[in-house]
Amino acid sequence: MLELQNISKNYKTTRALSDFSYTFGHGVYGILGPNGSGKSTLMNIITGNLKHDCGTIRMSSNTARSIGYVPQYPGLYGDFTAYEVMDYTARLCEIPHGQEKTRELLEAFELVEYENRRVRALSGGTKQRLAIAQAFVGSPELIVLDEPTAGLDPMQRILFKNFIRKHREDTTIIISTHIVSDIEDVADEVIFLRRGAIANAGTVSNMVESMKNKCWLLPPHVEYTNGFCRVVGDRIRMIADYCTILGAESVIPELDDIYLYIFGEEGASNST
Amino acid sequence: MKSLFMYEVKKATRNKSVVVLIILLCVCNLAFALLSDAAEPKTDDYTDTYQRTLDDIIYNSKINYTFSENKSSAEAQYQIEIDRHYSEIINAVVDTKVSGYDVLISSPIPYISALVTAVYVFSMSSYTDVTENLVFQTFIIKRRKLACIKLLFALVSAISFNLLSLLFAGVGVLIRFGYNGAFAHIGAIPKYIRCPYDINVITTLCLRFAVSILITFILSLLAGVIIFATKKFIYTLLTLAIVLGCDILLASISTDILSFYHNFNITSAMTDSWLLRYSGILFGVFISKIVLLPLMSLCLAIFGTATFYHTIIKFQCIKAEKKKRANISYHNHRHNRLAYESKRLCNVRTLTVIVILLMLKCVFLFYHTNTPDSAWERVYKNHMSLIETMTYDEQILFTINETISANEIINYGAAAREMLENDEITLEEYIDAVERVGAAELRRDVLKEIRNQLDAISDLQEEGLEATLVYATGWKKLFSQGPDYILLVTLMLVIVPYMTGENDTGYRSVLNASFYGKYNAHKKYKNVKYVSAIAVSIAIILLFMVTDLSFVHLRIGLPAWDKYIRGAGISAPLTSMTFIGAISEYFLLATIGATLLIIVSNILSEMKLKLVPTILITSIYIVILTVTSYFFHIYASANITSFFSYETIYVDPMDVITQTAVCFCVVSTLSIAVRNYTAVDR
Repeated sequence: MLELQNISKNYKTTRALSDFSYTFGHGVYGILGPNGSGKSTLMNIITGNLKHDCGTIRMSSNTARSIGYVPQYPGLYGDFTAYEVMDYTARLCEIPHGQEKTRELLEAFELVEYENRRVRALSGGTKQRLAIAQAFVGSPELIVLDEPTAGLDPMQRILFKNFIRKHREDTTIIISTHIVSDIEDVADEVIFLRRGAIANAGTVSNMVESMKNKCWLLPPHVEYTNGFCRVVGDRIRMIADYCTILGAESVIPELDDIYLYIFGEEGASNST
Repeated sequence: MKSLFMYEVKKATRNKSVVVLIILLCVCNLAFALLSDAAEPKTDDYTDTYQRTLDDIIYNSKINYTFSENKSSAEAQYQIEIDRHYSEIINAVVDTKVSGYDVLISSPIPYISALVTAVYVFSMSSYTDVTENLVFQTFIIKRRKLACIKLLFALVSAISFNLLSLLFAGVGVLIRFGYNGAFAHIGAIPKYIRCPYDINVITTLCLRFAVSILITFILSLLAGVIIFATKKFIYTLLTLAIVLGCDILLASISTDILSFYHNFNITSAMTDSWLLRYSGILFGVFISKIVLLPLMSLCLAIFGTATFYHTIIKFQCIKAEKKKRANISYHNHRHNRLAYESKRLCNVRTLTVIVILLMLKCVFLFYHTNTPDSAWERVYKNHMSLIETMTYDEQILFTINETISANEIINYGAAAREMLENDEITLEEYIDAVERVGAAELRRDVLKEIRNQLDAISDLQEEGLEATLVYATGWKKLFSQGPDYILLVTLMLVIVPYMTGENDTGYRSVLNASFYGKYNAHKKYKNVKYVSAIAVSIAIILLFMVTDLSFVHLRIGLPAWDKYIRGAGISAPLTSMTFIGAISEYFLLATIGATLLIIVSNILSEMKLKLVPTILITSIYIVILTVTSYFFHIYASANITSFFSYETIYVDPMDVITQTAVCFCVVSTLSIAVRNYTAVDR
């Protein structure tokens, strides 16, 4: 259990986080937001790498003792082999059967063939997988993943999602990303961050419910107009409270549509 | 814990540079021990010498005690202490051969090399933690454990590298001298003949080894703290260079064994065997200080441990600097090209190189200008102050009269022996005469030197130049320091990375694409680059020149800058050259030398060579030409080193002009050839 209350963080005069409050139980939590919305700041505050200016963080002593973390740019010891990275982490975690757990994770993330290779010689995607794998070594109660899928190919993304899904039962997993599809299928709850504050939060199904009749599929002849629209195949999906365009049909919204609904204005202003 | 420690070892030892350094440590120590000679050979009657020396000390202490008015005063008690200490060891066996141990105890090489290696290895390990900081970001709660392991690693590396260097030096010593006399008294080594302690050679070696470990540990921790605090390796190097540089300078400046600087600096503890400092005539402090130094080191080690521990616990992986970027307006970034190029040149790396090499230059200058305050120098200075206000004719007259007077004394001295044998003078008068002969011979030498200077002035006056007599020691020292290799290396380490920067970063391809078809823009870019490099070179040359001149001026004195150098008895072919003229010539030639260096490194960078090959090729080019001109006595060759020397004042100006022209011809031809080649390639 992790509880954040009124967390704020300023970088001189820029407010990175503003009165952020949320309670995380077991399950997968996705934190979505555009660049600069405060995702990484939040991740660093949760893991204790950054001090918050005000507010309180409550977590059980067990949770505090075992946090798995993958930062945005994970720095792994370049001269260690992949196996040594895992083993070193296992020893730091003081887990009783470290070697077994290490093997298990190397297999789960398809890293067995690289176990004797130095980290320096691994490709970007493989390094990222190794970083994710090491976060799970101590079977931590809280796992914080900051943009974990950067550099992973589609197969590896699927592998990652499957692994997350398997471990959601008894762990709190917080994934920060700006790629909606990464968490769409796995997240139990999604938090949308805008300029350091929660713009919207809840389960994906609740959000979809709240967006009903706000997502429209426009007829083929209509052209793309602004930030509230996105092209899907040869059709345009538009997010609006109502639609007067002839031939437009209401469809079930996806997480991408919700993202567009929340940040569309910002995106539009950015694009102009 | 054990396995975590092993991972700590892996972090450090898997680095190639660490492996190379460890191999160097072993090889250097072995070679040093195999090639070294015994510091001070012992005479056959060494036991007698030892006992006589100690007898003198005991006798003096007894006399001092007898004549002290207050027998219970600290001074009187101290004399009793001396008597007691030396009486206990006067019969020690000291005739054993201990040359091997002498080498191990007296030389700084095993300890300094171990210190450098251990500090570097620990710094590398800490730097890896800082740059590849996933573990530090994840295991915040286990920082205490990580700190303890790192502290243990620092201690173990300090011990193991000292042990390793001692082992290899020991093997060399075993082969060279054997292992006799491990349990002989320390007085068996001539250097420690006055050592007041009843300790044997092997104990001394162990004590020194222990002090070395403590100092290595302290400096390793200092390096670790800087790395964790600044997250930069370069700052560690810079700080350590400043600390060690200042330390060496302080140790060199203060030769008084009782001074604060001499007693509490790393260099004295590492290079000067610390026992030596308690073994001289000034042994007044030996009772307290043998305890004080290890105690100080221990306190520093504890303080260092606490600081390092605290630094690791509080280590921040993330730096909150985002606002700084957000607030800067675009307009503030607008600089002209020269400013951007200067920015590329003037960075921390450049500053570090300059500071380190400037320190080295100061150490060199210290030793070069270290004129012992000899009798000759005192007499010369005295005579110069006497005659500098006189006219030229008065000066000539003075030297003639003084020489005649000195010759009379010398002649009297020569006759004195015969007079003594004929009982015409007493023994005291004879001794007095002999002493006066010594002083007169010295005076005659000085007068000869002054006469030479006056002759040179006479030549100048014949040519219509108004020359005066100048106190010459400082100027002669300045002009005799040979080519300034340190300045050359500094320029190379600053200029070459700048010139090859595009190849090192891979930016050359971007530049080539940007300048494609824009000949003028490319030419402009090149010109700006040249101008920046020359401007920075000039700044460095001036910095080194100011250091040179200030050092010599403060230590010896550089008077009469506007006078002719011939007035100082320096035989320059250009008769009208003044001191300021010689300095200006040096500056001009050094600037030309730097320009040549810039052109050479530019040629190599045009050939798409990176930093290391460029430095290597430039160095080889310089070394080959220096060696060629040295062996074949060809001055007017394309020799870059000669541009950084005051020796050009002794050379015919035509030779210097020819040399410069030859250099420029060679380098320009190469430059054109390379430009054509690269143009075709593009």
